Amino acid sequence: MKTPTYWSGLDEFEANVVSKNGDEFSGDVPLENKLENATEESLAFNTNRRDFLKIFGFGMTAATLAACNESPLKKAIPYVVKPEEITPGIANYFSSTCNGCSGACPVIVKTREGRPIKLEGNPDSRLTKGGLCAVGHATVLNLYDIDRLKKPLIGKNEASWADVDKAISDKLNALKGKGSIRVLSNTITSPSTLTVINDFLTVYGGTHVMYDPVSYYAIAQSHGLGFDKAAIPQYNFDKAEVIVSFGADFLGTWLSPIQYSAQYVTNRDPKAKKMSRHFQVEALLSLTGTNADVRYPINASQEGLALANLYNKVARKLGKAEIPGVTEFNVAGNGIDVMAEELSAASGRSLVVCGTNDLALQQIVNGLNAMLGNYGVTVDITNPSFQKQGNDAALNQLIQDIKSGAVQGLIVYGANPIFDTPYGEELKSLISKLSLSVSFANKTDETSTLCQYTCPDSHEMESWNDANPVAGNYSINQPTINTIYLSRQAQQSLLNWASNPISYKDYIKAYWAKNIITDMIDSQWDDVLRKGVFHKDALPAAAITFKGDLVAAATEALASGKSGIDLVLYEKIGIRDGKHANNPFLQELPDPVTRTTWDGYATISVKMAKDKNLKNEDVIEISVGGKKLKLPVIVQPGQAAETIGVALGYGRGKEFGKTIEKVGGENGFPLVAFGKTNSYRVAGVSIASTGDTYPIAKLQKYDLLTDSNPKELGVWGDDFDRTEAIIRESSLENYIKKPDAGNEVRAHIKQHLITLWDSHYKEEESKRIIRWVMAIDLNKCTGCGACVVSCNAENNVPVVGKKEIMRHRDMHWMRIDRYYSGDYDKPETIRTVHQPMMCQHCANAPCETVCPVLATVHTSDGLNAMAYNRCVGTRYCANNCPYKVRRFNWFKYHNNDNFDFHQNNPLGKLVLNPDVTVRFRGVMEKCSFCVQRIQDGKLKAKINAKQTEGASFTKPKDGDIKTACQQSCPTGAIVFGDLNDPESEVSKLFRDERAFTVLEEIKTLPSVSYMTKIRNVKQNEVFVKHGGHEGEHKEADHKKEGGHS
Amino acid sequence: MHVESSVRTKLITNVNEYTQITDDIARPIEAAPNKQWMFWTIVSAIVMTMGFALIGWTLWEGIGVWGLNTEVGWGFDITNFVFWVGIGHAGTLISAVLLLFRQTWRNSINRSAEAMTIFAVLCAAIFPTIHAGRVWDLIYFGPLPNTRGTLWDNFNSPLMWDVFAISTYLTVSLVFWYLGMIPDFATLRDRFKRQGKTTASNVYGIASFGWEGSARNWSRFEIISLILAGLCTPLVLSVHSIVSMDFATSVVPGWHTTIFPPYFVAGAIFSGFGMVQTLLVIMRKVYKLENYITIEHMENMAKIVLATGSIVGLAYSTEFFIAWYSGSFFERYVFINRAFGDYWWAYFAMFSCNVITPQLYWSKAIRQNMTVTFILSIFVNIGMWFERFVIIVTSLHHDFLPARWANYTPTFVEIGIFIGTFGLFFTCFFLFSKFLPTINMFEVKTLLHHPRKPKGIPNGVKDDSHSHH
Repeated sequence: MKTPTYWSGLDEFEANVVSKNGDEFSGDVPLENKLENATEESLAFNTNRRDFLKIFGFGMTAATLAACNESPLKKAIPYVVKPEEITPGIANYFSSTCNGCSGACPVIVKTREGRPIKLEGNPDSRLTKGGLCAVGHATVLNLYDIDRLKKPLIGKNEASWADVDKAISDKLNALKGKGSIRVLSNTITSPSTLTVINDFLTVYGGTHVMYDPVSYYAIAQSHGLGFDKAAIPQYNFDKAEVIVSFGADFLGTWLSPIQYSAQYVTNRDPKAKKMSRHFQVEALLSLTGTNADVRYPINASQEGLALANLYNKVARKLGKAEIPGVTEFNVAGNGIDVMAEELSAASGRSLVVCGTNDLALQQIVNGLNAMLGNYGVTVDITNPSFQKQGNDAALNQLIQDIKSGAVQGLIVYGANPIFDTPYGEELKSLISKLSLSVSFANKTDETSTLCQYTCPDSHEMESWNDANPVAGNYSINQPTINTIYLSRQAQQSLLNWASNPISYKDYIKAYWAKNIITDMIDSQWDDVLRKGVFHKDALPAAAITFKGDLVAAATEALASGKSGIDLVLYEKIGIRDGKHANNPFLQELPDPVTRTTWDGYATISVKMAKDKNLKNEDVIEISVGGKKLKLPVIVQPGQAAETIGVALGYGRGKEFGKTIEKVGGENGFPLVAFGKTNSYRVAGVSIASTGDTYPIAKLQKYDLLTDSNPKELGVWGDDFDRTEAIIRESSLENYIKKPDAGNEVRAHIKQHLITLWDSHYKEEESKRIIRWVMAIDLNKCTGCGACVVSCNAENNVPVVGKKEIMRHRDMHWMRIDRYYSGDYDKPETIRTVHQPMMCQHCANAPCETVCPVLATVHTSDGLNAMAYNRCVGTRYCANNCPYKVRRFNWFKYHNNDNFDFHQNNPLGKLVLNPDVTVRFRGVMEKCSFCVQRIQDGKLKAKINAKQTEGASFTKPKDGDIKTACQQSCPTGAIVFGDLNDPESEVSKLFRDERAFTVLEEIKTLPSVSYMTKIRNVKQNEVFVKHGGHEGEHKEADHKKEGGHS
Repeated sequence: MHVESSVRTKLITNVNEYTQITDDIARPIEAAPNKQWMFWTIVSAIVMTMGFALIGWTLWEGIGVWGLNTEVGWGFDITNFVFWVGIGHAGTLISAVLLLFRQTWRNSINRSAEAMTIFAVLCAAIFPTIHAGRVWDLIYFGPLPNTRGTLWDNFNSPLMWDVFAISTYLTVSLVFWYLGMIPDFATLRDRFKRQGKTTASNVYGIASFGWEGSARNWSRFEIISLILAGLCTPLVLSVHSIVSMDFATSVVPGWHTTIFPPYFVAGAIFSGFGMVQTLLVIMRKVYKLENYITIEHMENMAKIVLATGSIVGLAYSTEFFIAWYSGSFFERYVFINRAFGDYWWAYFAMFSCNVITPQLYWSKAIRQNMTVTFILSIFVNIGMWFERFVIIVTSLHHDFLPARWANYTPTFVEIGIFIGTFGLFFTCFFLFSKFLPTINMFEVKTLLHHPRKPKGIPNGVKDDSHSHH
């Protein structure tokens, strides 16, 4: 035992403590000392109880604090005061108008937590009846385009609005009163916007010039010449029993395709035992051509001749005056006689349209329609369309005026004339001479980069506007989100510059109160905003007399005789005039006819391919008048022999967007020629093979349901015609005789299909309270692709880019297969059928049995469900899927710089539907029948049930739940519902004699039924193969030479 | 105990005493590794490393770095899987089935054949693992209890059967192989001890599980060998039958056929013996084991290759006949397309290598010519790889809907991984040939007819493995 230390006073005590226990309470941690003379012993662990407690305490606290660390930091700002109308998780809907093209279809915008995520057609619209096209669906992505301008620009430098406004106002004031200002725009269907522009021009002096990249000026002009009313009439395809279209792709791109599709399809239901007869006379195979009953391919330059002959033959039948001096011409033997016969028999109930922007041709068309008495019935000039108001002559004049110096200020609104007019090159040098050039582009484009000022217009979903696409049809455009960047809508800019202090929103309201709804009260305005559309009754058709000079027209039309190869510049579905070229949804949407994505190309006929020894992907050089295009070739069955087709909208400058950068092709607009009107048909083109090849991302490489491979063997005896198993088709004549025409085999198959587990499936399926199924009417489906983009937007389907498409790794949940029949070498025999294909939700699903981990299972309501979390990605399900509808996530498609599309940037991701998982790499995905919508509908039904006394469960009402594809379909080809409800529309369709399922003999028992395609054709118009050379045809893609028997 | 008539052909030649056998077989193990061995082992290891690097790349980036697409969901991955599993079959057949049938000629080749089986199954196991999109979730394959209600494994799925079949196969083969080596390990233990190499002796001592060579040891050993052989025998049939059901239970034309199980088993034995031939031709030469792996052994195997090759050929013809006879339209197309479509060259390679080349073995001169045997065995290997490629790719690439027909081209990543598995296989095999007895010493000793009395064994030290004589 130690002796205690005694101390005698405080001094001694302190000295003792310090000296004896110096370490215990010393100020510094003597760590350095210890380390400096670090020996084994000094570093040895000699912790006492106090140290242990200190370290323990520190450790605990540190661990606790570390656990409290809020990492990773993500900003999620809750509402301090929750807006009354926003409930997290519940969507809001606003009615608005689509600005995808000048068709101005009314839409409903779905917003979630304040961001618009999806567009749907407005079912209240009398024009579209709720349909919306592929472009319309994709425009929601333009809102979240990362390439949008974030601020106004002076030159190429960002500036503030105040500076830009000041600079522009100064320049405007300098030009004031000289009449040298031009506002250049594409067609504007908004009456308020037009008035704003006029107000502005009244202040500063000048005129408004409208043009359309793809012009319809000739139609308006010809009506000016023929009826003193220079307007584009309203066409009523629903009232036409015989439709003859000369190259007008009215179901795809022409004028107002959604509206016309909705009209057209009303006469295509064979149940009525009556269908319209649709003739398509065209050079290229258009979407409309693929839907025609009878299609006559003619070269573009023969159109005048064909029209004049048709006119004369109809005139002969009706006993009217013929046009003298027209050379005899016919198509496909006696095609023109057939058309003349049927047209004259359906006087007043027929319709002739022409898609060529040629004054002479349009005059003959007007003459024909007038002679047939179609005006006032199928052609309504009293209630015209305002969807295309472009004036080719005014555009031409504008260029001359800039050249001469008469124009000093140019304000470009919603147009890109350097890219999409024939004057691009000219304008490029002229634009710098102007003293003021302003562009309202919200993304830099070919024109805006050369303008002094760029004043980014807001996206339509950030803007107020109105529209009047067709006389009597109005719709409203309201913002659904605040401006994302510092953009300002163009109308507001013009109002500001004209020193009008009103906001554009109030301006519209005032305009409506003054011009549209007289004495409008607030509740009426609210009603307009709520419904989104406002209709005035159509004016009764005024009596008209045609007084056009057909002889002159015919002389002109026939003067351009055939010489060399014709080039047709056309609009492609999705890409259209190239305005939305930066939209990845549209670039990845396969063209319904060529099934090609991401590239511009030249389509050539089979004959030309054979003559010039060209095949798909060979690069040719097209030259005319010193201008050249270098494009890869696609050999297009059904195309007229001596015509080449080149789609417009390609060849945008690579610097104008992340998506555009990845797109191939060349700009066809410089080849457009202005005579009296802009001509998109160029004669006397020469082509030369360059010897190069260019890979094209073609999604479908095999076009036929038959295959001639086996014939080379000569022993197998049949020519592998799988048509019956996949597509069923018949004619109206046969259908009337027998409603299961073309589908006779179904009864046979059903009878002979046996399975060891038959009873099991039958009971299971019928026992379900609900069994969700879908019916697709091949007669109504035009193949327009609207559903594909709608599905992409609804289900967060990633865009994968050209390289992956070329590897056949498209991620689309919904696709539209396209097959040809007929003789490859005879374009007039080519028939096309479109077949939408998505997960068939088989009751006896091959994918479900092979999944080792039960990641894909059947739900109690008959869906084939995918549990992404459970999926390990063996891909066996996809291998075993006969319909090849399952899609594998080969890579991580979001947050991946290799897939630099909208899912790779924070802005683009705002478009994602929060109700649908974004799939991780390595999992399988596929169509879910929009299970999130089904779930939503069922929940609503449950809530209703709770409110109903005694009811425990209420099924959703038939039609309450609509899948995204169904909702978007302009023709109502897709019907979804409960098969076990005998009253539902879909169950009636399932019982229809036309119903069949694809690959029925595998007994997958699909939940998707297709209705047999019924064409209104006569027996002699059907191409029947009868062995030998007649039936032999070969896809161009086939590596081997065609067989001989 | 086997009693062999002395008039029978000798299964091993120029061998007169037990010691000679032990010396010959232990020589590579006891000697220092030669340069050639070092070189080839390192080359194999490098190739293997490259393969694993590419596997790493696949796991990092996604299956997209392969050439597969929506239509052809399996390509090199499953082709290689079936190829390697098939190769494994000869080992089991030789070690188990031939044991049960008392085909003693197998004694000198069964060890290396079994080793080959195990290494091949290891290579095979890589592919189903890495072909999954989410390797990290493969735990879902395990029939683990969970809280997700009915969400368990799908025992309807042939992939699930595969998991059990392959893992059973690997386990049983491994145990059988190891068990067979125990007496030999004891021999090595004793030899190393005698040479004063304590470490080596200890290692082999542990590996030998304290084998004493007592009568009791031998009795147990024989019983367990027979039991395992009995277990292995059905596996020879079941494993590849189940692998074939990965295809046969689907609805894909060209896969959906009942002939697949026997057809695949025959093919597997065919390819397995092909691979055994390849390896043994080299091994008997390099390690100078011609006395143990005699020309007669090689001839026997050539006869099996001939027989199974003919069965495979018959199966190809039967498929074609049934495709036509069934009247199933899609089935017919697939077969025509196989032979004459875009992948005709693969079909041609398959048919000529598997059906035509083995027919050369009708000639005794060819059977006895090791150079030709080696070349033919390579052809068999190539042909059988193509068989799987043809079955998988040609059935998928043109199936039902022409709108979704696509071709498949592998990328360098897939090809590299495939080559990498050869690296793995040969690395394992070289290590085996250096460190383990490549020939079953004690079983070969049973083949010696009139052994001379062992000489030169010092008093008190007894070669344990001889104790049963």
